[in-house]
Amino acid sequence: MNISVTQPRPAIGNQVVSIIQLIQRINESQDDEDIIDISRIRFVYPLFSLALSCIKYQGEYLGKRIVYNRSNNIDCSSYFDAIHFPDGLTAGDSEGFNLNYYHNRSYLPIIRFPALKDRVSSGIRDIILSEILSKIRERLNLNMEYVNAIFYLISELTDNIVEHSGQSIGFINAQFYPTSGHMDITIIDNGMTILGTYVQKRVMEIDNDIRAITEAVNGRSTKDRADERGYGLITSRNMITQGLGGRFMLYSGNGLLLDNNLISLPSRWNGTILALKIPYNIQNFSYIAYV
Amino acid sequence: MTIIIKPDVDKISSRASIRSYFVQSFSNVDKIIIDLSSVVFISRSAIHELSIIIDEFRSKNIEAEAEIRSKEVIKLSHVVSLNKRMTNHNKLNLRRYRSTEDIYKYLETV
Repeated sequence: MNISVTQPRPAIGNQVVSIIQLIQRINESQDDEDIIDISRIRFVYPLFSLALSCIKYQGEYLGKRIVYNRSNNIDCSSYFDAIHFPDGLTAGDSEGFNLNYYHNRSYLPIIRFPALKDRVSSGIRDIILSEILSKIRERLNLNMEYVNAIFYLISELTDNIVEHSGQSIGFINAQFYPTSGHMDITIIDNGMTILGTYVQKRVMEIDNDIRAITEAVNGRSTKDRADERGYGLITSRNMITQGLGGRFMLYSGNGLLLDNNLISLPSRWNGTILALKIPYNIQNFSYIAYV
Repeated sequence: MTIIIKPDVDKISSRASIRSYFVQSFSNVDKIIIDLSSVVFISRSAIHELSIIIDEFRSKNIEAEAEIRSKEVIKLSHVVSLNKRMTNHNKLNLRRYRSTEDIYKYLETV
């Protein structure tokens, strides 16, 4: 089936609608292979571009092969190449990783990081996240409170993928908007949903995605050890929405949390999408108050 | 025997990163120094994991301590050691819709 993708508007809600509609059309298709036609896309915001790139992994859950058609897209072709769409930029265990190409750009590419817990994967992940942080810091000339906050957010939220998704890879990208003074960061995995993690840990009273998201953002840990805290999501969300006046979106399974609103969606994301809208250079912000 | 564990990075982003430095055998070890003097950023999860690891060593009568120089890492370590309860400041609203179209209409406004 040929599935033509149209350009979503920039608001997070519009991008979510585009993602839902895309998943629905793939679900409706009876074909073994679907072609995602992105030739009419002129610009992609990071939430939609990262979700679009991960659709091929979502197709695997349906036993489908997903391919992309961007022929004749002269306007956006070089941009898609620059953001390494759809596979993402990554680092091997023997080669370095740098984002020097993006020094003066208003975006970071799709970056694929290892999500396994072994020493090599952890080391590569640390290098990748370190380089992302350095580039954001340089590009936006952030003060140390912000640098600490950004490191806190990307480390906690990617660590959730490492600890809970059951996947070997995760994805992150970013876009900067100097005129409006904010940045968008999107983090995605295509593995176990938040509900799936509770179910795996036999927390049986949590039986739907909305309940699972509610428990997770209220700090209920799925971890086995009583002394471990499930505060990554709650602190990150508080920091963004309360401390920085930004926006926090979480889409996991059929559940969506957008700002303070929970909605059960008609389309399922196998895994979790996090979209963060972070204003920068807010005065008198102290990240440690939210940790 | 005293051993020194020194991560070779200046940023540690995950629990798994910290755990990966402790996969070796610690038989015949009676003191472990975790040298974080070159670490300038560490995630809350990682510093929390480190505190658990140190407690585990101490419960086995192995002396363990972390050397930290970064002020930010010291500050974060202190906050984690307080083990304070976090509360969700934002009350969640469950929105119910009759149809997919109604969901779209709402999402297109936010």
